This record gives sequence, structure tokens and C-alpha cells, in this order.
Amino acid sequence: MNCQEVLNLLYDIIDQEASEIDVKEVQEHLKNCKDCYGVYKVEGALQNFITEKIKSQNEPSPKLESLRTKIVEQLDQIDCDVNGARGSESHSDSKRPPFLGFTKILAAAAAIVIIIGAGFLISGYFHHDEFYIPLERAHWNAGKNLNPYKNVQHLYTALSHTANDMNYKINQDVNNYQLIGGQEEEIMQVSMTHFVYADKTDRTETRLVSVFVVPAEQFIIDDELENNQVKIDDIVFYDHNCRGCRLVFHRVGDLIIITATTEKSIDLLEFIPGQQAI
Amino acid sequence: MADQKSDIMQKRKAFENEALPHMNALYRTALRMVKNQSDAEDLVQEAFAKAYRFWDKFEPGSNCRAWLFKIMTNIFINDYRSKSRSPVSVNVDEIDDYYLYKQMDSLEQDGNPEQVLFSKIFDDDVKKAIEELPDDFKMVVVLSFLEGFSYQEIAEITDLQLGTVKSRLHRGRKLLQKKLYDYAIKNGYIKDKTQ
Repeated sequence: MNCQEVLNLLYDIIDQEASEIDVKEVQEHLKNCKDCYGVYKVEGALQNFITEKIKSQNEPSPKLESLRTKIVEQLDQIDCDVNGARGSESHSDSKRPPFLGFTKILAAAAAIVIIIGAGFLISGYFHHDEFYIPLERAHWNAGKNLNPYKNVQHLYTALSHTANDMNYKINQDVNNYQLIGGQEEEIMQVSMTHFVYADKTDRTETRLVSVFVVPAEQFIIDDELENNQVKIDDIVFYDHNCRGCRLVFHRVGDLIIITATTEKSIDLLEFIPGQQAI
Repeated sequence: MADQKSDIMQKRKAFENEALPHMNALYRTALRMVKNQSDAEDLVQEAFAKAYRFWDKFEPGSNCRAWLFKIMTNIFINDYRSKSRSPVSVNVDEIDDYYLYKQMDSLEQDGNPEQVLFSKIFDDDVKKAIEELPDDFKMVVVLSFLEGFSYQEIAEITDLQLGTVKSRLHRGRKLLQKKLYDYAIKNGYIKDKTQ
């Protein structure tokens, strides 16, 4: 190789794009050529210098954490858009209630189902972020890490709190589901008791049910949710279904019981029958 | 409807596992491509939103990082570049090849000349020199220097010919060399004998 050929390969070699044979030939040439060696030395040092400087300017992690949160919220919204669009499609082609996933409701299909609002599919978009997502996220978080809920002391406190203070008794077993944990949690600035049920036979994260118990005075069933009201045999429910997570709200005396699951086949109504109240 | 929901969940899970871990890399590159932090955040957010919408277009097993960079670079070119495009103040082609090497002889100093020179260049000078590169050069320089993408990968990310990538990298390097040398002189720690 002559000097020109060697210099032509300079950046290919610095950027590790040159072939092994080329690298060897260049090395041979540099041993005997002071000029080319000088160029390679300075260019190589400069490359190391700049790369080191450019890589050392790192971002503080709180900044990255908040960016991540923003992105995740954005994904939530996209999921919700997709769901909403699909929901309205199935709405327009028949008069079926939005409760199709519920075995119990299917059985009671003959019962008169009153769906007051279909408007939520449009208006619910903005409402969704502040109202449902914190609940959905609490449910998802339980799926990601069950350990805090399994703490026996937490569970015991949560159980005695609902029984004594809230006058509501939580069942240990609901059909095929078993209470596996619970704890007090602050969600949307309201203190809720969050119980987690798991399928006795299939304990994967999607086969979980969350039951949130919260005093009715602290949790307002607002207009948006009111629009999703469903009445079966005089029992009133508020249904929200989005992003693969279903939430059912139900009033029992002075309490609001919210059930959540990502598994569509689970009959959430089983978890909130009125007779459970003391 | 039930199937659709579990589809969404699966998609979401795959995306969070495969795409989201590249956020830090996208953000650090974005920070160097656009002028300020808030633009960089917007750029990264837009990139992830678009990637998520087109997730079914991503081939499982292929290079997710490069795919995400392609999406972000595309948004940058279309929406951000034009806003911040600045005229090239220096004619790159008038800068000699191996510019720094050729200046070494004219430097008044002892010891290893390039190390002495680099020791007089501040971190902020390097940052500023990269910031001031014309966007077309900056893009390939950042993808190569910071992210270590190969020429071929950069060509795919930027939709440029391989030869164009190489030539822009080369010219970007020349500009950087000139700027860094000028900063070192301006900082006053080294003297150019000819001045």
C-alpha cells in the first residue's frame, strides 16, 4: 500500500469498518512511514477524545424517569384510543350490552339492561387519564410485584380495617379465586384498601382480580362514570373497560367497591355481591 | 372483543420489553440533535408513540434499536431539522484534510502535541462544537460517535447512500477539528506561531 491508499483507509479503520487484511497492511505501512503514522496518531487520539467527551455528558436519572412516565402514559392513551374505536364499532353493529365478557351477564341476557350513555366512548378519552388509569395501574402494579400484598401483617390490617371500620367483609374465596394479599394504598389522593385475588390453579399476572374498597364519601361517581351505569335486577353497576383492563364500580351502603382485572373471562360481579356487606 | 384486548396487552408487553429499554439511548441522541431539553423530550415521545402505532411493522428478532432510531431520525428530519437549520458558516471543503495534524507543527508547546492541545479544550467546547455542526453532519456524527452505529446502520437509519454517510462523517470530522482547534486558540492556552 502506498501513502494515499493508507490515508484513504484512515476513517474506516478508526470506525472499525475496515477488513482485517486492510488493517494488517496499514499497520505494516505505519511502522515505516512517519508521516502516515503522525496522521493516524492524531486522528485516533482526536476520535478517542471526542467520543469520550460526548459520551460523558449523561442525563440525571430523575429526568429519564419522568420521561419514561410520560411515554408510558402516552402508550396508555394509544391503547385506549384503539379500544375506544373498537368499542364503538361493535356498538354500532348490534344492540348488545358492553358486558359481553361476563358469563353471568350473558346468562342474564334476558334481563333488561339499560345503557344510559354511549357518549363515554367519545368523551371518556380525557376523563380516562385522571380517573381510571391510577386504578388500572394499581392493579397492574400488584401483578408486577405481589410481595407487598402478601405481607401477612398488611393483609390482616386491611381485613380488620374493612370489617371493623368500613363494615364490609372480604371473602377469602370467590369461586375459583383465593384472597392472596391486601394493603392500604393511596390512589388519587384517596386511601383505599386494595385486595388481590389469584386463580387457585393459574397464578399468572393476568389472572388476578383487584378489589378496592373505599368510603363512598371520598369517591365520587361523577357524570362520566354515571353514563356507564348498568342496571340488572335493580343492582346498579358502573362499568369501564379499556386497555385490556376492566373496572366495575358498585356501591354497597357507604362504600364503593371497585373491582379490576385484565382477564376478560373473569366474572367480576362475583366479587361484589351485595350480600357480602355485613 | 376479548381476543382483541389480549392482543393489545401482548403488544404492550412486547413493546415495553423490547422498545422501551432503548429510551435512554434515544434521549441522549435527541439531546444532541435538537437545541433544548424540551424539544428532545418531545422528539423521543413522538418517536415512541409512532413506534408503538407501527409496532406490527417491526420484525421480531431484527435490530429494534436501529428501528427506533430510524423512526426518531425521520421525525427529526421532517419536523425539527427545518426549524433549526442554520447556514453553514464555514465552507467545509476549504478545510484541509487532517487539519489538526497539519496545525501541530505550528503549535508552540512541549510534550505530546495532541494531548497538550486536547487538555486545553473544555468539555463545553466539545459540546458546542457538535451543537454547531450543520444538522446533516450532526446527525451522522452523533449516530456514529455517540451510538456507535456502523456505516451501514446509519445509512438505513437516515435513508442515505452509504457513500453519502461516509462523506458527511468525513466532513463533519473536518468541521469538528477546525472548531476545536479554534476554541483551543481562543481559550488562550496555546499559541499559534503564525499569529
